[in-house]
Amino acid sequence: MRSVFLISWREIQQRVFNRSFLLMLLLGPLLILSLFYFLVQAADEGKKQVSVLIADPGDLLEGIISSKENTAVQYSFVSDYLTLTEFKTGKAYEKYDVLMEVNEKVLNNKKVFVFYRDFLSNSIQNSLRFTLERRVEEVIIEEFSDLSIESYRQMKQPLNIDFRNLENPTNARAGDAGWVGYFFGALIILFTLFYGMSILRGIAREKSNRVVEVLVSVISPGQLMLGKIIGIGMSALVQLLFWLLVISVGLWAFQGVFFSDFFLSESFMGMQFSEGAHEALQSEFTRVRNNEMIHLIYDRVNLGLILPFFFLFFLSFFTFVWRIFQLNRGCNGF
Amino acid sequence: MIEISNVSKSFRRKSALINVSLKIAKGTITGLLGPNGAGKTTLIRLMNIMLVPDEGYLKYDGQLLKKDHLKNIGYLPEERGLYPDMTVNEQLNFFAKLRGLSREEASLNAKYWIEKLKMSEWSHETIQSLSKGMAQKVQFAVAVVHDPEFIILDEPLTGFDPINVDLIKNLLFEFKEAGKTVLLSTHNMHRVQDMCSHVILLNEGRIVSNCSIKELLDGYESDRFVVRYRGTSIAFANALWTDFELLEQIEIQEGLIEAHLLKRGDKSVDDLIRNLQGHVTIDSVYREQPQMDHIFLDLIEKGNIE
Repeated sequence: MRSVFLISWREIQQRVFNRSFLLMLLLGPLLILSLFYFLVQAADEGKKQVSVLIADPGDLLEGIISSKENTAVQYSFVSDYLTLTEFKTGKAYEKYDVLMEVNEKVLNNKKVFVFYRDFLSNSIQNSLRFTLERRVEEVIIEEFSDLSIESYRQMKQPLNIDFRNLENPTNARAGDAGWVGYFFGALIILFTLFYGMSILRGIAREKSNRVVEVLVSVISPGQLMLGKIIGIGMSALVQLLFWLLVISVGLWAFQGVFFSDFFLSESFMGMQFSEGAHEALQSEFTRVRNNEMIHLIYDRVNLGLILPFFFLFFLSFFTFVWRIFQLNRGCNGF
Repeated sequence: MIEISNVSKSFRRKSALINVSLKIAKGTITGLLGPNGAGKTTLIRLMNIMLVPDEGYLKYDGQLLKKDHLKNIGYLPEERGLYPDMTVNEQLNFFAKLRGLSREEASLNAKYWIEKLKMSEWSHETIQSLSKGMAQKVQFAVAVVHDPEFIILDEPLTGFDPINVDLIKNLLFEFKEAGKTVLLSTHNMHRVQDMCSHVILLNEGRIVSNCSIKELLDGYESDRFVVRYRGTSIAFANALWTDFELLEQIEIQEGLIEAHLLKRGDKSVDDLIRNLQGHVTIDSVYREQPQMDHIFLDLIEKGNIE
């Protein structure tokens, strides 16, 4: 067993303390994170800095929209009706990108129209939707009840009626998340094939530089092969774990830095919610988080399930290679 | 030390070794000779348990040869092989540990051989940066770094300059004096004659000869004579008549000529002296010692199966 360990350790040293391995160790996850970032950005096209004019003829909002400073959205109020032509062509309104029409009946009909000049990014749409919704809620509570805002939000758990097909009771949306399965499947195949090839390359190299003649005079071919498989497998795991670590840290950092608009805790920083209200908001927010990429990576991909399977397939592959080798030895009698 | 009994090994339908039996005594340097394809490498690989015999068995110190014995065996293959990206020091440590030495022992032994083979100056360089001769030294050190009792060397002196040939030769004699056993496989007959006390001659998978060098040489009378004479070369050639063939002659001193002759038929030294008397002045006459390469060729030709 010591021989197997020595061979494995040599393989690990040869691979891990190698310039190209170290380079790939850093570049690989950075490339994946960059790809993810660009995919998110690509899925979130549209204007990201807007100036919003709220037409509030009934002065329902009382000139207040949010206590939170939002650098991406600037709100202004006008306490009058505004026609679309006026907003579109009026010199005074040129600087506004969005017209948000809050009529007096909004408390009853719950209908608000938002007119934009250029298409708005998902994050801006989210921000406008939630900011106005929160403010309207506050107005409703003040107007119609003696409840505190926190109590109201705690009570306001929406009844979630979910219609589901009998043929698909779990409502699995294969189309959305299917490619994630393909991606991870491809990643497993890529890793296993790459490192499988690495084993073959290692053997070919040892045969070509003839060191194998010295090695098999000391240890059996089986031990040599097992040592190589373990060593190369461990190198692959080192790389994989490092990649996962960097990608996880990267995704966590992205959540706060680049994609803060998509996350409730970041979007509503500074606001106080009770626990129940927060959960309700979170659930609602997740439901409508309308960047597919973000939704997929942060909400739908079950890494807790994928990773054990990933390692299982990985180990199975190397066990399979080892078994094939033993079978070959058995057939050839060496 | 090593006993091989009725060992046969074939690869598909080709027999590499046929019913080979031999013993290699402890504390000897034994030459393993044979033309290409004679089965030398197969025999060596059997001794290293790289191959398993189809028939027969091998014993090491009276026990059936098994993996545990490999830590007492050193092997220098003909096809040299080292890890090109490892340094000399790393390489020696790695193989010493692989042969069962502890980390401390491996380090100590590696240091000893680096100094012994004068490799200190480049012990931290990788193999790929070394010359062929330097790499050969490392390869030799790898074979003996674990202080084995039985050392198998396949063409150990190939690629060495005369200084290093001398160094390795002396080491082999040191091994012998220390009671270690050396098996030297080579095509160089002079080396065998020069260094070995015993010789095993293989041909077509069979043992043609297995005896001491002395026994082998004694068993062969040379057909060649060397005569040193003073006189004319014409008179000398005429005196030989048809009994001896003049191969070559050179003047080694002023007036003193050395001639190499090949006898024809059953002629003896006495016949030669009788022929020459009265024609030239004889300085000395002796029978040439039989050369290993002549014996080798003769044995192969005769198919002298033991």
